[in-house]
Amino acid sequence: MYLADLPPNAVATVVDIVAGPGLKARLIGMGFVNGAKIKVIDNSSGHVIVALDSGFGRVVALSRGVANKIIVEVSQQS
Amino acid sequence: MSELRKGQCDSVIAVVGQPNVGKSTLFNVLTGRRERVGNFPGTTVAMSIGRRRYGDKTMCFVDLPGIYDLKAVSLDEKIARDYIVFGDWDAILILVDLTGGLEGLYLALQVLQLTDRAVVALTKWDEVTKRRIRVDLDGLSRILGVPVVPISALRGEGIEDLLKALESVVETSSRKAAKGIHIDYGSLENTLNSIVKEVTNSFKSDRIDPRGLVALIARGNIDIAEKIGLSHIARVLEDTAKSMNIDVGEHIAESIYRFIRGTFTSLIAIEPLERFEKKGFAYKVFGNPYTGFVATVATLFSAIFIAFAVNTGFPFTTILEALGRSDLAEALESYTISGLISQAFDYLKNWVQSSLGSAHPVLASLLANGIIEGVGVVSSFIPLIMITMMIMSAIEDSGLGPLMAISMHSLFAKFGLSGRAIYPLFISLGCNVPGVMASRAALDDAERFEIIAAASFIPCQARLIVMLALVGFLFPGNPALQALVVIGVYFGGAVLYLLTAKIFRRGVLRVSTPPELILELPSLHKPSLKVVWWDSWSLTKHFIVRAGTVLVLLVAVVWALTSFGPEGFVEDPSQSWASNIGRLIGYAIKPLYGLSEDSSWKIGFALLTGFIAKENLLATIAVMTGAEEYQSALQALGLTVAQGIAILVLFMYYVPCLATVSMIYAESKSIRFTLLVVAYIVAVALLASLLVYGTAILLQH
Ligand SMILES: Nc1nc2c(ncn2[C@@H]2O[C@H](COP(=O)(O)OP(=O)(O)OP(=O)(O)O)[C@@H](O)[C@H]2O)c(=O)[nH]1
Repeated sequence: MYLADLPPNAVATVVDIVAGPGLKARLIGMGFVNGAKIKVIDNSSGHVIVALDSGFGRVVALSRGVANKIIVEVSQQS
Repeated sequence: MSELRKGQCDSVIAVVGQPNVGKSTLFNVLTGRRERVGNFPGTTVAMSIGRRRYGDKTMCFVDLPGIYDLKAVSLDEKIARDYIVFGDWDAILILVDLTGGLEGLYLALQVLQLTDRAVVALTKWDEVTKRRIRVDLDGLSRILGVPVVPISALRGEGIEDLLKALESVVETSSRKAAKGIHIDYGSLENTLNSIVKEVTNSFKSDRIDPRGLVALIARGNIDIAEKIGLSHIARVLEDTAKSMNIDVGEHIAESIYRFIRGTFTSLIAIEPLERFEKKGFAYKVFGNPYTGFVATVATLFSAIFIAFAVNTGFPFTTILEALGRSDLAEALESYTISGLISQAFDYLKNWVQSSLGSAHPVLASLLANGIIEGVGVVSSFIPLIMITMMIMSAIEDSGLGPLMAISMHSLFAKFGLSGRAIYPLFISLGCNVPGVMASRAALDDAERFEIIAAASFIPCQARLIVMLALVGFLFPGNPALQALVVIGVYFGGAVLYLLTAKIFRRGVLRVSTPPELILELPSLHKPSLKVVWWDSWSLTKHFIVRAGTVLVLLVAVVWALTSFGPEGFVEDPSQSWASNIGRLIGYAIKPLYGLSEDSSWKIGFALLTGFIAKENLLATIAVMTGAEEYQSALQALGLTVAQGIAILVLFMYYVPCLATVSMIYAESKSIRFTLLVVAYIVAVALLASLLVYGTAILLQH
């Protein structure tokens, strides 16, 4: 399942990123690695907003093209 | 960097951190002014340092670009990485923002693998305590193996402790070789260990732990292996990747993150992700695609409106004039900031003319119209740029900027721009000079150059005044048609802005992928006055120093062209070289629009003076036709409606003004790019204006 397909409030774990080396490095640098837990804050139109692992932590907006390159596994939905 | 040593630095400290970590703010309280000390080795990127006295020593802080990862993809990352690995520093100051979560430690650990001659500063400590994030500082320091100092640059707290910690690292570090923090790479350990031996033999540095360097190379920095003469490491790593069927670089990154999660969750108490929610009105409004669009446009529009009202009295002056109260309009205008500045410089010019004019007419003219005029033009831009930059910094500092960018992104992405390109577009409506400067909001260099090239198609306020006069003359008594034309010109400008971005992206910068947005959303907060002041003042200084000097020079050149002619010094500009150039331009455009001999050279000369400043377009035509006011001046040109509209279009887009050209040069640092942009704009404007001319003639028949 891709990050772009997750509804708001879904919590999931990153499994893989299928992207070129440049984009991949940027995502990894921000914390999108295999095993990282993420929560979807908003998924409305052109972009997806996700919070990363650490609670009050980093919130990142990804354009849909990027969110479609991140493979996730859903762990829980609320 | 032996220059740094010679330049009175007792110790050199490299400062590194992720973007938005609070580095600029820290530099401002720590060292104040930053000065340029040449370029980073092998690049044209300026290296700047700040100095700070501590005891009887001077510490020099090197400002490294903000990066997320030491794996170097962009130039910024390469600069930071190479300076850390090869630079001549005494200690590294690593900034970590825990309000950004534990991910902030990722960069810190990569650096700490390389060396323990470092201090970790936990930034925004006021915010960390406010959010009740509990941190075990001693535990953290023990695991990281370096001093950990909480600081709040905004409140000036922890700075002394930080300096003390840095000083003690500098004092003690030279006695032993650096040792990096040990992170376990599991199945990769054997391969890594075998490489460590080779690196130890060929790379001698007591600052860098060979094991850390190997991890850095394996993370995906093969070029470092080449630099230290071990290019065959690439093959070793490839073989390992094949035989183990893993991506080595990713394995390294994952191990570091696993180490962070395993080690620090017990030391730093942060709320679990499940309970996390991004609340707040602003998020709701800007997150929604429709309200977000409207809110962004409304916010930026009112910001520009305020900046211009304060600075030039526009649009109130125009409204008063329309109401027939030009006396009030004039009074208002003379008390605005730019009004006051121009009065002061006019006074100075008159004084020079009257005290020198009779004895040395050429010298007086050079001083008054060549030099004072140039300085005056630069000064008149300063408050405008300052105010616009303050508004932009406030939006950016509050955290609203990234939200605005995502609300515009879908639309802009179609044209090879990211949502952040909305700023320069709006700022350019006021004035193209800060508009070009706002290209710095871009996500990457390609986008920045696209914006620099495109910004001057947006009609600025000076052109709006020209436009209003022209439509008033062309369609008297038809306000609906007037409004339609004005809207059309703005719409055309916006379309040209977007298309130009696309054309430059594909054709000049050769990037074919659409821009993707990966943007950290900082939490919203009230902008700090200090930060806004620092940011806007440093940008304004950039304008004064870089663009201002070019502008003063160009004004002096223009003075020479208008004051000298074939017969030497002339009082009357119509006898000057400039008027000859105007005549040439006139000849060139005459057949295109079927203009009369007389009006073509007047328009040509106006185009030339309009290049100096767009306000001059009308003023020149008025002077040349000897008319008292604009309507009769335009009348005297005897234009048909089709010609009039075509000239209007030409006037609106034909060339960036002198100040904007200076800014394009200051931002691109390339004469070739600047000339290319100017030539492109002239060509596009001519084409657009001829198209409009042709269409208008067809419509008339
Ligand atoms: N609460 C708080 N906020 C701070 C502090 N220092 C910086 N900030 C805020 O953090 C944000 C980023 O600060 P900057 O100094 O611009 O960060 P930077 O690391 O230079 O960021 P880049 O310009 O992206 O490289 C701004 O909104 C600051 O107001 C601090 O000590 N306390």
